[in-house]
Amino acid sequence: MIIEEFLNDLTRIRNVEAVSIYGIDNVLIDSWTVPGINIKTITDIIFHYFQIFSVLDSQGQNFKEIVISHENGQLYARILPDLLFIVLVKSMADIALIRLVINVKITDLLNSRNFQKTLKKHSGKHPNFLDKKFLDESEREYLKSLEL
Amino acid sequence: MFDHKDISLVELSEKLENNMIFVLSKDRSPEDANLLHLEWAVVSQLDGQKTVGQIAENLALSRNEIEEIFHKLTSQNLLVLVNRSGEDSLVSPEFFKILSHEMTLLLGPVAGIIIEDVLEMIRMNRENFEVQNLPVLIELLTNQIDDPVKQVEFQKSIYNRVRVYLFK
Repeated sequence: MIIEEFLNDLTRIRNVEAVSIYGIDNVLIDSWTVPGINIKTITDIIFHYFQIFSVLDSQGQNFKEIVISHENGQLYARILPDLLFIVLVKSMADIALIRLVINVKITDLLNSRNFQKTLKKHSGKHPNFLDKKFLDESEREYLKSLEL
Repeated sequence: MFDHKDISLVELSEKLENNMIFVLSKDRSPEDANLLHLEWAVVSQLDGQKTVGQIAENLALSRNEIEEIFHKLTSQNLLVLVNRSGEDSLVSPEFFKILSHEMTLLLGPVAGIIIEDVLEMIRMNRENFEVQNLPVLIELLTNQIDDPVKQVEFQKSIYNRVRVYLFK
């Protein structure tokens, strides 16, 4: 509903396959996928990256966005104080357009009553799974390989 | 479903372009060909949607490598060209007038020079500017604006103008 109302242009980018918005407590607020893509599978993949993202952030890296290659394209993650945007896209060439759409639409989204109500509904009800204490061994190894 | 087009081997080797889209031919299975690891990797990417450029990017292949692989796959009659993305996708000169106007409001009379500098930096020009490069151009021009509030204003203003090109 939120994606349809505010970020419909993201879903119209030819190579975009999935869009997800998560709240600060990592609850899925809204999602969209092209037919044939399983949002559960995507969410599972995304959470691994979220944890890494969160640890980078907790170490003062202050990343605002990350792009990670996966076998069928790119995973673009954009972090805002109250939100995480995740976009699965086939081509790196579309990242600039995705960034532009989010830049242009984000103010309207954040200021909308509908979105504020949704955030309020979710806030404080869920543990923060991005906390580094939830990292498993493979994720610790990954972080170690990044030499952080 | 697709607008299938025959393409000869000679034609392909001369004209393999990043915006071409291929699928596997129904007449021959890749299992019947003696393919190497990277060639299989390219075959696995052929979904009727990804362009040659996207496949090269996903697999981190150089221009020479991707040309060589597509040349081999075509010579073995494994490929059918289904489409080209981005045809007829040049930005009209009118857009650059609007862009200059918007930039002049923010940066003053140097706006025109800055636009030309950025175009030169990305090795493009107003006459042959492809729609697919618009977001990068906007991003680079935004970086020329110091005030973050004005950056957002610029992007919002110009985005409304480019939507007509980006989402035909």
